[in-house]
Amino acid sequence: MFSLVLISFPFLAALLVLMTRKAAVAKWMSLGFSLLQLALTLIFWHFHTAGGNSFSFFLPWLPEWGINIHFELDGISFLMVLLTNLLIPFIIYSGIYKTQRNEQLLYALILFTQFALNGVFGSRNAVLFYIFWEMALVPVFFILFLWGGERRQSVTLKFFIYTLFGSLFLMIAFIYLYFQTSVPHDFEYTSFLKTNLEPCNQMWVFWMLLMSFVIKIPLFPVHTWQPDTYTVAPYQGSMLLGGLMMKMGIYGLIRWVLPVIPEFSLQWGFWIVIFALTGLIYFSVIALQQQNFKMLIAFSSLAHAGLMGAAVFSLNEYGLQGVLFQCFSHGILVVLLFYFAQLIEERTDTLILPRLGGIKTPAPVFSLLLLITILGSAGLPLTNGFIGEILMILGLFSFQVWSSILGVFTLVGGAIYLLYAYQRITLGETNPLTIGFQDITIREMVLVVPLVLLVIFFGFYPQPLLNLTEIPVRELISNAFSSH
Amino acid sequence: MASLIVLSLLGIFLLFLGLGKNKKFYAPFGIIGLLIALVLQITNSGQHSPLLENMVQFDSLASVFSSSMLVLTLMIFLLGIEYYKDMPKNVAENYSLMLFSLVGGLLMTSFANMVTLFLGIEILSIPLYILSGSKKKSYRSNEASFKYFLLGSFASAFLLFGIALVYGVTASFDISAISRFCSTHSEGLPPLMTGGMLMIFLGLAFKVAAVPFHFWSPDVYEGSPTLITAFMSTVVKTAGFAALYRLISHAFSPLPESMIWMLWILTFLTLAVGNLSALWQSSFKRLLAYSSIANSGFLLLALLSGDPQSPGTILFYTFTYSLATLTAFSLFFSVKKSSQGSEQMEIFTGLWKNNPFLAIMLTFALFSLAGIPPLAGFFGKYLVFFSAIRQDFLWISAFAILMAVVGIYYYFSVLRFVFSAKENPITIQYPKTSMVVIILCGLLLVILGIFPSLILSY
Amino acid sequence: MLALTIWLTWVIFIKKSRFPVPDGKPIPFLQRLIYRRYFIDELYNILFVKPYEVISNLFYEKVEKGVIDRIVNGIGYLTFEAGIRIRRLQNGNASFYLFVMVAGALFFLLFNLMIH
Repeated sequence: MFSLVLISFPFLAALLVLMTRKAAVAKWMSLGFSLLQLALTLIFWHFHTAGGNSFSFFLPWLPEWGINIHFELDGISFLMVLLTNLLIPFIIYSGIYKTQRNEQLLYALILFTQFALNGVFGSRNAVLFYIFWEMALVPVFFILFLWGGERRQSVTLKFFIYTLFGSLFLMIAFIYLYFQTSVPHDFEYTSFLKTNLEPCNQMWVFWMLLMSFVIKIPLFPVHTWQPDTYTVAPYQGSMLLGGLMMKMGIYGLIRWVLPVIPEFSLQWGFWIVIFALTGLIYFSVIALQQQNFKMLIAFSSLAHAGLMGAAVFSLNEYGLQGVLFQCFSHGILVVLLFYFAQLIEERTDTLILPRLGGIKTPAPVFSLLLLITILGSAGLPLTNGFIGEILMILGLFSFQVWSSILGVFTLVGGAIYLLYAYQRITLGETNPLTIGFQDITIREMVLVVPLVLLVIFFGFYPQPLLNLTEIPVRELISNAFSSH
Repeated sequence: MASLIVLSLLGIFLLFLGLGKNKKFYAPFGIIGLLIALVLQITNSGQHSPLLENMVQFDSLASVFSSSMLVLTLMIFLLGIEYYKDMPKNVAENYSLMLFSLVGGLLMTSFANMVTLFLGIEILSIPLYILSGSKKKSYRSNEASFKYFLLGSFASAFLLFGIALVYGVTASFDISAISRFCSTHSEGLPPLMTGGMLMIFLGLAFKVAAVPFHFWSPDVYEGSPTLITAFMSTVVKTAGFAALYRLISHAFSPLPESMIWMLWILTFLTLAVGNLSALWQSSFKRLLAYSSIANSGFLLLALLSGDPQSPGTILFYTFTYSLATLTAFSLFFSVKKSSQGSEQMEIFTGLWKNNPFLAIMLTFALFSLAGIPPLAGFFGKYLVFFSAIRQDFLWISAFAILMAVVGIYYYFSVLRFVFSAKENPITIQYPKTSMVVIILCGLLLVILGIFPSLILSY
Repeated sequence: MLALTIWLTWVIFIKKSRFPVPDGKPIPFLQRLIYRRYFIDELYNILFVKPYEVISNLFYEKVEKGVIDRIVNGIGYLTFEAGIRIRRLQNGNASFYLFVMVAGALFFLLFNLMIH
């Protein structure tokens, strides 16, 4: 029951926000609701760690087709839900002092995204998962479509069609898996785990599932929707996409590919790791070339995603734990980076790096906070980015030594392009554009400081999150791969 | 059966009412009559025995399809109140022709004899030939009517020829006798028989606008008065697919190999042509015409799979598709009226700013057509793929998925205009009766998307 | 060690503010070698920074925009192209429509006979 409340609360909140008359009320109301949701999540966390309860909820919906409303929040799901509910208040807050068109709708859509994301991470029934999966796309589509920047319509349409193309194959694969479950067939996750597919069928089911998740993340070479989309999106949309939606794909791989089709994951894992790592290097190199800060964040996200994708298919505990931890830290860092981009654009009206510079002199605190964020993204020790990356590289190490060497490239490559960007923003001479750069204000600190503290906190003390995922990851690995 | 009689009498009654000059009464009387017919249809659905010397049989299959057509016609009548407000003459005739066409549709869902099938199709078609030309002064409307009539008579000839061939082999018009013949000769039907089946299928393929027998539909849909286009793309489509399903399940089962191949090719072509041609349309009406062809492709896929759940799938798909299409047509009509009769998609420019409610409703309709959850269209598509995959039609399913993606593109390209930032200073008159229809459609789309078993439990 | 370095730096550069050679004067080669840290920066620039930038540019302009993006957009383009070709069949000519209908029917009949 608790999981149902947790998942459906944002939906009710969205409806209430939508019905408010005054935009200002709607904004603060949505912030309040999202904070309430965060509080609920934290309470849940307490019970979770105390009793190991995963708060399963089961309600027959269309039982004759094996479709049920089945939620369960084990450690992996819960980590994702926690990330979602942690970031949404910040994402809402990031735009709360701006005036935008139609704010009721905007904030209702953000809450609606939160609902769909919670649903995606909590569902244990394939069709239910699929419905949430597609539903998550709809509000984001509108956020981009209505509040995006230049060229928003064509870019958004491309993004929508591209990712939907993937998810439709997900539907076919799920229906096919349904007919492979024992009679009476159903779409339950646990039934999917027990399926025994013939190798030839396994192949295309595997590729279809993989395709849809990989497009969502996205990994090389199906990433072309991403940089444009991140750039054109309004800041809140970019935060949703980079901070949360991307994690849907990673989660999908861990939840619906590895345990369901283990043989093929094992057989083809090698090639996927190669592709993901190629992407990692490729994006790290390209990121250096970017003149637009938002574009740079997009490519840096792609590079990180490459390492995460590779670590998923390292198929061992270190790798998976690292991926999950990195999902969490990358979410926080990306929201921070986009927020800094927003602040820079608000103050100077540009995001072109060569035009910036010398912000350090007029805005030292701003620069310091940006530095911490950048170092976190580059995976410097004692930030949360480091923990995830080092675990993933360990995972890759026990998979194939060479792959871990390539993995280290994110650390080096990341350091290069991120620090280069930092240098171009904050160091050097001030110019007319940046001379009057206002330092960070209290209002902005409210968003930045807690997240920066989290970056440092989890860099020192990652245990709470690692504890959360440790047992489910171990079970997943041992159930799926012990016999091989 | 009772509903058939009520509808026929109602049609004649409306014709007489047309002699008087009071236009106000036509639609309300029509609606009351349709409601009575609907109630009779639902309450009598228990009686399954064949009637009229085994000519029609209102079994549960016929009953649900008939009810769905009655509901749709009811909504079209509601829209008609506004649509025919400015029309000086012949309003009653339009309503009664629609009712007669509906009678044909009911016969097509309930036939137990090949003769009834033929009669049904003709009763359905002939009023449509007239209705599509009912804008007498419009050149395009006349052209549409003529084209429809010309091509339609060819299709009828195919159908009749097919029935004759089947009669030649089985010596019976009765579908149960034909079905017995098919099951006893399941190892190999004589070529004449399969040839006859083929001709019958082609005749019906014309009605549902399956490629390559679809050429009439974009021209006719575009030329006809909008209300008639709405009628054709909803009620007539439902009737066509009900008849096809009844034919396959009650008369020609098991379907011979060659027929399955033929359906396969039809499905493939219909999906490809319908969706790809729609990409280039700038006229909204034509877009909906191609969307109707494309949706026929998905329905053919459900038919092709011959799954035990097919009737439910086809019913659900046609019904939800019709609801969404009706919403789109009704909005289109109102917006068109306030933009000097243009039929281009541009007329929706800035709808979101002008009238957010209508914009949301149009978005609902388009989302449902595109198959995005949680709207009903999603379960329609889901069910189609479900039956196709159950019968191992994997490649064509994959192809259908690709075409569904194309479909999403052109439905969403309408949204570009709806949510465009440009100003478009028009005021849209939206009357209450039409409002009832779109609210009803919108609600049904949401409710059926969450509880699809409401329809499927039939 | 660290403290020593800091102290030395402080003493040499800040307290006495004594630089080896004032700026702007020509420096003998050996001294210059040391002054410019054996040209390591320049070497580093030639060996790593430049190639890295060149590769980065190559990847972004040629591979990303030239190949991968073009493939994706090409698929969309081809779909549209197919659409426009198919759409042209709808030419409004009723006798052509009839011709296609009859041709379709004949095709299916022959197909049917072939399967037999």
